[in-house]
Amino acid sequence: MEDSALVRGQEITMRFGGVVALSKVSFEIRPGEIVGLIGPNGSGKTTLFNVLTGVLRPTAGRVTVLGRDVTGWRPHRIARRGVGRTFQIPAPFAKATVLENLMVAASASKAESLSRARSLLDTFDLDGLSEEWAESLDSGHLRLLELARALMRDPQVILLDEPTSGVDPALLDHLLERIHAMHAEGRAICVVAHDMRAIEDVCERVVVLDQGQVIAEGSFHEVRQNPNVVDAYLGGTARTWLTSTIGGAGG
Amino acid sequence: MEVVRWLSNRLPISRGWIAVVVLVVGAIILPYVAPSTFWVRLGTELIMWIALAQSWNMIGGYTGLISFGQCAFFGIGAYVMALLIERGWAFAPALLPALVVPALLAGVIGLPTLRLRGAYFAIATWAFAEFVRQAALVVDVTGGSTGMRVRLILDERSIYYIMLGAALLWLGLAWWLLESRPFGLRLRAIRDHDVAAEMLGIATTQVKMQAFILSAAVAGVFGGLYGVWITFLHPDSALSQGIVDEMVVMTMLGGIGTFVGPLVGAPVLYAIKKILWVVWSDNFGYLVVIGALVVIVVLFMPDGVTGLFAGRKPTLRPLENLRRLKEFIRR
Repeated sequence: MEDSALVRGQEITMRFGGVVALSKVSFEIRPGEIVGLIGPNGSGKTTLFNVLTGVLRPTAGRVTVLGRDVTGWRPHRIARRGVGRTFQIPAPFAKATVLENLMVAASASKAESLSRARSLLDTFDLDGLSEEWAESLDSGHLRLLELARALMRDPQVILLDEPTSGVDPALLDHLLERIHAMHAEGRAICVVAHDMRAIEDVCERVVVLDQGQVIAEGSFHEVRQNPNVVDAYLGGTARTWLTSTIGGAGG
Repeated sequence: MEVVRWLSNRLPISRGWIAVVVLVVGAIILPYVAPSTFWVRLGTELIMWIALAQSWNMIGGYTGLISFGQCAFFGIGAYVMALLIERGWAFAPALLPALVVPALLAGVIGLPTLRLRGAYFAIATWAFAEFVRQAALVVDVTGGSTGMRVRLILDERSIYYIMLGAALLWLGLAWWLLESRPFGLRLRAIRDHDVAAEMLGIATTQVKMQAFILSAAVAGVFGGLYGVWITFLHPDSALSQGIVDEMVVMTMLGGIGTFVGPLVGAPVLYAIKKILWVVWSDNFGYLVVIGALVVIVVLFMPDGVTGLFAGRKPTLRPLENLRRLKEFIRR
């Protein structure tokens, strides 16, 4: 049977010694959607990204990409299958220029790759910085560079790990606009973010993780009304206080 | 320098290329203009160090894998070549196993060690090199701790030109691979962030293995040539950790991870070593200078001598430079 999801994690469990980072998490990224993955710090979002992209091998469970079981595959093979990602802590190739950062991903002829790299730098407003060393960029431009670099291989699915963190308001709009444009080009996107404005702005569906488990799923407005989600973010006492003073769990 | 400037004003080629041509022509005519064989021997050894430093730079500087195993590959190449020549092999056929054996061994050693990072990789390769040295001290085939003589098969001038030819071939190949092909960029990407490189579709383990094997093969070839040139091998000289230490210091002094770094660092360190040897007539004072140079480069000139010419001035932020080096090793 054809798998409807581009990337699917089935019953993923990830243990680090005695710590259970993910417990039977099932998660999918469907064609053409922007799905948000949220949760408090330490809830397992980045671990899930690492499992889906082959950086970590799950203790149990299965990962499929475009219908093929890729559990245990090395990240470069998963990347070549059409999955790109960015990192929670920006991961530039520091001692390389901005242009070289993109050229690392060159898979076609040099001329073709160079022209793609230049056009991406242009789109991301990085063309003026193409000869700068990546280590000299501020965090906002590093986020843009990572996005542009992830697009070099033209992936069908992109996993963005906190793409808005450390980005100043002036660049934020540009960055969100780029995420929308990537979506408009037909790519499926999964975004991890703590910035709820960004999640509300770009995501059609949101999945909430807490302590390694999926606790809610739905539209942004649905999940933020969900008492479990409020508990996860604020703790049970805070919810009791909120419900007694404001008279509702949402907002 | 004057010659380079004079020519570059008159010819439609860049200063860099003119400098290369002037240096190569100078190296070619050296045996004819040198006042004695002493200078030819110095030239032979210096050329060897430049090539060796570049072989370490590829794995240590470009790929960021701090390998202390390079002396083992150098020594193994030396012993393989020497043993074959002692068994009556001709020079050229004996050079091939001096390249192949270290390369194969690097493949075997690389499988478990290239999974390690930073200091762990450095320790594993150091342990391997020390194992090889200790083994060479006790087995019969190498002559154990009495060392072994190598039959003199080439005169000074011939071995000089062979060393020069091999070094030019290697440096040309290194330039092509590291600065013009995607290979060099991939190595630098792996050095800076291997997971990010993987996520861009680069098979990092395979690429690291290629660099490790190539650098071992190059060290082996120059080890083979060294044995034929020096005509006496001892585990404490041909397999000494000092060999890799010099490659590291030459590279760092010139500029780690840059093509020009070892080309500048090797002659500078070599000159210091020889001058001190003449002045103090021992090798201990030289070790003090090496130590002092490492400290100065690490604390004040992280980009080496070539960094000064690229406009990166020495920094008076030693702690910041030390932190960056620690980060580099921790990766």
